[in-house]
Amino acid sequence: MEKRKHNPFQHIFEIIIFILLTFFVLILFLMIAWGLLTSLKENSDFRSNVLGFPEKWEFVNYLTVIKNFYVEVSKTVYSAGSMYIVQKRVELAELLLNTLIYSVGGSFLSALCPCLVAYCVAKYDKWFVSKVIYSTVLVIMIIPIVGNLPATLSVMQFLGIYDNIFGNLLTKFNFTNFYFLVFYGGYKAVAKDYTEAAYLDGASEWQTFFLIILPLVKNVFGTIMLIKFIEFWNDYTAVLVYLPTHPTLAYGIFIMSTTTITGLSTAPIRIAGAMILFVPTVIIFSFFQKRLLGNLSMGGVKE
Amino acid sequence: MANYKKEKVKKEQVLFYLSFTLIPIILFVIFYIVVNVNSILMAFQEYDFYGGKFIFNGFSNFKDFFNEFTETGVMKKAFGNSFKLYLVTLCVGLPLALMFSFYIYKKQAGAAFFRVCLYLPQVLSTIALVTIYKYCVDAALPKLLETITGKSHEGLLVNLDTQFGTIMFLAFYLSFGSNVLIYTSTMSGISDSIVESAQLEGVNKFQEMVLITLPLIFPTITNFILMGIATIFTDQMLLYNFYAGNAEVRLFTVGYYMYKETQKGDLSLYPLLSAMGLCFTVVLTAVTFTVKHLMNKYGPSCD
Repeated sequence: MEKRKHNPFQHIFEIIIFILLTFFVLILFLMIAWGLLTSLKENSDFRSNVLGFPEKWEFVNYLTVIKNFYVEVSKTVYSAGSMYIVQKRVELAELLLNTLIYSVGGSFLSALCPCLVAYCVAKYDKWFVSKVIYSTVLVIMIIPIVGNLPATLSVMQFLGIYDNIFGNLLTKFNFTNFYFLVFYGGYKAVAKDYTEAAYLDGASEWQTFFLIILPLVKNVFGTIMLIKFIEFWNDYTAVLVYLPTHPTLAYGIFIMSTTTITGLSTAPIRIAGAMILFVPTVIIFSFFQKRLLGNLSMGGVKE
Repeated sequence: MANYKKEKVKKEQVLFYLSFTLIPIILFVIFYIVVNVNSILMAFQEYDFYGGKFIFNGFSNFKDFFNEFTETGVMKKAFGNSFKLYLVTLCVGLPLALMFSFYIYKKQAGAAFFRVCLYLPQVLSTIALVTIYKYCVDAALPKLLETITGKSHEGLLVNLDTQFGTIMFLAFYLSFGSNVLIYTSTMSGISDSIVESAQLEGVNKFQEMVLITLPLIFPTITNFILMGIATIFTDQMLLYNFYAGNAEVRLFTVGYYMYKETQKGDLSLYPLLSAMGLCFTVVLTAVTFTVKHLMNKYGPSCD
């Protein structure tokens, strides 16, 4: 039997990728490790000892952020025919509440909408309206819309949902995205026997969906909700534009990081604030890592 | 009797369909159709301060846009930077993402660990990462270089020669984690028999990647390239995270410029921004469909 030739190039290729990946990972870990050490230093210690370990290992910066973290927002109030600008201080508890409403509500609606619409489109795929919806989603995903932010703002102002945290959640109830296709693929893969058996037992369309189908796609639903939760938890740009008087934690960290308004402007304190923002998403990631890194594919493999 | 039952079932199906799709469709019409039509109309209007409403002004905004493009140089600079960022993402990011994905798909040394680490930046808050990165490159890195070389060094964001590259590096670094995840998922859908028969013919890993894996996942690569084109003029290159609305003009990208201007909340700027958006949308739509056509026509075959 002929012995297979050893190809040195094969290993060079793997070694190069390994080195690049190690470099990628090292950047992230060194940055976070340095940030963690810095967040434990006093400002004077940081100034004299940028790279070393803290002189005293203290969590005082974290406590300072938790106690003094706030965002100041200004709101225009109309009263007795006059216009006033009122300054309002949003404290940590309210920031947290806003963040939870925005990220939990937003992620639930973002997962629910494609879940419902994709089911109808997949189940009644011969109906004309289903074909239109499916094609619309595909076209919208390709057409690159630039610069519709001002128009979105003016429509939201017209509808009275500008700067309204619950009104803003309506914009998250949207099916024209990649997750529609994920659900669509999932529903297509479900055997028809399940639903037919349910109909024979006299189940209505709603009962069939909620009792038979939804449990089958609950993992996909959960994964999409987790992905969107992380996205909304970390998002501050949309909040800055659409919800200026309902700041979230990420918005607060942005203000703390780019201004000196809050007085929390030393490097160790700012970095401590950043570390606090990491905590929930890192916890979620460590618990649901397998689910988040699960098999979401797009475009498929050529046959 | 049978007809009556059929009709009843059909009625229930229609009711069910409507109960799941009516609200999403209404919201789609408001937040996509109405918003984009409004954006197009706004491009031909100006804000009348006295009347407090938008009035028609023909092509004036387009003239202003082209003047700004050719005379002030702000948009030209922003256009150039957006293009640079896209080219780096396409020419460096895409090959790297594909190599990393292949490495993980082939379950080489540390593949599972690298998979988690590559996705981690997607989980962590961007504003928090930017906060740490700013101090890393402006305080820690110069100190480290000084310790090694004995000479003092300027921070990478302070030094005007390295500022743009430093910001672009982080934008690039944070961009490809989820791409790797999807490429890897798609690669794992490749039939084992194809890979095994290629291995029997003596192909090495590099050849396997170039000759088998990439052609087979070409639809996914095409999708990512098309989605990348869609973001050329919306990508802010993290500038708002670094500088809020105060970045220097030479750093501007189109996405940053448009977001920053909209965020000011000045109604008189909206028409010009909408006109810019409309121009960029038309250009990008044409580019997207041309690239899609070319990739379908000249993409690799699996024979």
